[in-house]
Amino acid sequence: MRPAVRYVIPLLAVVVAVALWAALVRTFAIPDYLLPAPQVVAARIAKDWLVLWKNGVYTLLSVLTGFAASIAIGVPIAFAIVLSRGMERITMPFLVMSQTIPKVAIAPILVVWLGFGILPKIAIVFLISFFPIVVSTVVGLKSVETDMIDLVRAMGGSTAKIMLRVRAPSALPQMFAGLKIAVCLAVVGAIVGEFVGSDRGLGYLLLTSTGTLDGPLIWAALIVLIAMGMTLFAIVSFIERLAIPWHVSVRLDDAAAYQS
Amino acid sequence: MITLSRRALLASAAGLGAGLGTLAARPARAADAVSFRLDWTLSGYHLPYYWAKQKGYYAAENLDVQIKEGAGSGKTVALLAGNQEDIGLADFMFMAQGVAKGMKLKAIMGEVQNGAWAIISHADAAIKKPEDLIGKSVATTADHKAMLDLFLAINKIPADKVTAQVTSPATRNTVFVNGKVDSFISVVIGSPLDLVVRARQGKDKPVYFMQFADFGITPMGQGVFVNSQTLAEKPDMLRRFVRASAHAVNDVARPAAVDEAVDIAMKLSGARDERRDSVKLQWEETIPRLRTANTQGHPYGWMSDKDWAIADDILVKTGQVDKPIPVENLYTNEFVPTS
Repeated sequence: MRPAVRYVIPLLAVVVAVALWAALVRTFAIPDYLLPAPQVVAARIAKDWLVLWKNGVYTLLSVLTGFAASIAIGVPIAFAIVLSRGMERITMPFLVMSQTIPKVAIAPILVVWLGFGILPKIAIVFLISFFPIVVSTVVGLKSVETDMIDLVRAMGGSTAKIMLRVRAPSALPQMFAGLKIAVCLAVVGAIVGEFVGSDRGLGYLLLTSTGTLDGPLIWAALIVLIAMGMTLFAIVSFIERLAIPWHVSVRLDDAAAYQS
Repeated sequence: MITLSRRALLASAAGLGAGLGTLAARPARAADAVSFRLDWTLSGYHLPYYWAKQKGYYAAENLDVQIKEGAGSGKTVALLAGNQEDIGLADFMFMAQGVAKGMKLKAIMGEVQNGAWAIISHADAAIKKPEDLIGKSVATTADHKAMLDLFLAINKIPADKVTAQVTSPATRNTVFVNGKVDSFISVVIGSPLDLVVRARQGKDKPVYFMQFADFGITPMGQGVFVNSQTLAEKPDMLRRFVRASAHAVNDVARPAAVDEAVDIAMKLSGARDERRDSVKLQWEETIPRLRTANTQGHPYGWMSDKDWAIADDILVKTGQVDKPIPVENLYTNEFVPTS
C-alpha cells in the first residue's frame, strides 16, 4: 500500500496536468507555434528522438563536467574558508561578486574569450553552480556544535582530524542541500551557454526551433531538458540517502508514521 | 398631428446647430493612436517612418503614430500575431514563415523588396563564392540559420562541410571581428555596414560581402504588415498610414534629403551619435533595393506576385512549408496609393 501511495499519487498528478494541458489546447484552439498539444509533442519526441538524444548528450556533458568542476573546486574553497579567517576575508568578496554578475551578461564575453567549443559552456555551468555548493558547505562546516569540537580537541584531536571526522560528516546534510540546488542550476547554465553560441546541444535545438517557430520541437527539447534536470536531481537525492541515512531529513522521508 | 412647441423647435434647431458644429470641427477630434513596432533598433530602412512623423505626414492623416524599436523580426512577428501592436515592420520572410505556421498576418506595404543577404568575411581571407565556404565557420543568429541552410543547399555545398555557429545577435559581429569565426550571415543593410564604417575609420579590417543575389537568391526584405483582425477592422487607418509612409519613402529616397532624414531619425530614436555614419550608409544601400525588376514603374510600397512567389519558393526549399502559400494570403496592394 505504501509504495502505491508514494508513486501513484505523483503519477496521477502528472497525468492530470497533461490532461489539463491537452484540454486547454483543444478548447481554445491554441496554434502549434504558441503551445502544441501533448500528443503532438510526444509524436515529435518519437520522430526526432535521435536528434534529441545526440543534442541532449552534448548538453549533459557540459552539465556534468561543469558540475563536477564546481564540486572539485567549491568544496576545497569551503574548507579553506572555514579553516582560515583570512582566507574567508579574501575570497568571500570575489565569491559574492561572481554571483552578482548576471551569467547571461557574462556569457557572450566568455564565448569571445573561449570560442565556440564546450569550454565556455562548462565555464558558465561552473560559475552558476559552484556558489551554492561553497556557501552551503561553509555553513555546514561551521554549524558543528562547539562542545563536540572542544571534546575532540581535549582528547588530543588535531585540526585536520576535527575537520575530517567531526566537521565534514556533520556538514554533509547542508552540502547536499547545496548540491541539489547546484545541479538544477547547472542545467540552466548549460542552456545559457548554448544560447550565446553553439552548434549543438539542447539549447541550440531550442534556439533554432524558435527561429523557425517550430513549436512541437521547442517543447520536445524542453521536455527532454526537464527530464534531464529531474533525473540529475533524483540521482543527487539518491546519493544523499546513501551518504547520510542517519540525518533527520532522510529518516523523515522513510517513516510514514511522521507524515500524517 | 404633431404639434411642436416653440421651445422644442428652438431646442432642435440648437441641436442641429451643435451637430453641424461638431461636423465642422471634425479635424480637431483626437487623432487615432497607432502603435508601430519596428524590427530592430534604428536601421537605415527605418528613416521614412521617422520622417513621416517629424514632417507631420501622420498627423495630417489624423494619426498619432508611436514608433517603437524591436528586438528582431521574429519577435515583432510574434507581437503582431498576438495583436499586441497595431502595425509592424519586419523581414517579410519571417512574416511568411509565421503565416505558414498559422499566424493571421498580411503584408500591406513592401519597403525593402530585395532582401539582400550576404555572407560577410574578412577581405584578406575573403569568401567570394559558395565553394569557398567549405571548411570554414559561419556565425549565424538562430533566425538566419534557415537562410544559410538554403544558400548551401542551392549551391550544392554539403552542410556538414561548413560549421554553422548559432550565436545571439549581440555576439555575432563580435566573434567575427575577434576572429572566432571566419564569416557570418546577415542582411546587408543592417549591422554589417557598421563594420564597413569602422573599416573606413581604420578601426577594423575591411570586409567582403558575398551577396546572395549574385547566386540566385532574392528573398523579400523588410516591410509593413498587420494582423488580419486590424485589416478587417481598421482598413481606413491602414490606408492613411500607408499613404503617409509611402509619401515619406518618396521624399527620403531623394539623395538631397538623406542627411536631414538621418538627423531626424537619430533624434527621434535616441540612437547613439557614433551610429550616424552607419545608419546613413544603411539607407544609401537600401535605396536601390526599394524596387525589384518586377516592381519598376510602380509606386514605392507596391509588391509583385512574382517577388512573393520567389519568397514562397524559398520557404518551400528550406522546408518551412510543405507547399507554397497562396500569395494572396501573404500580401495585398490595396492600401498602396496608386500614384
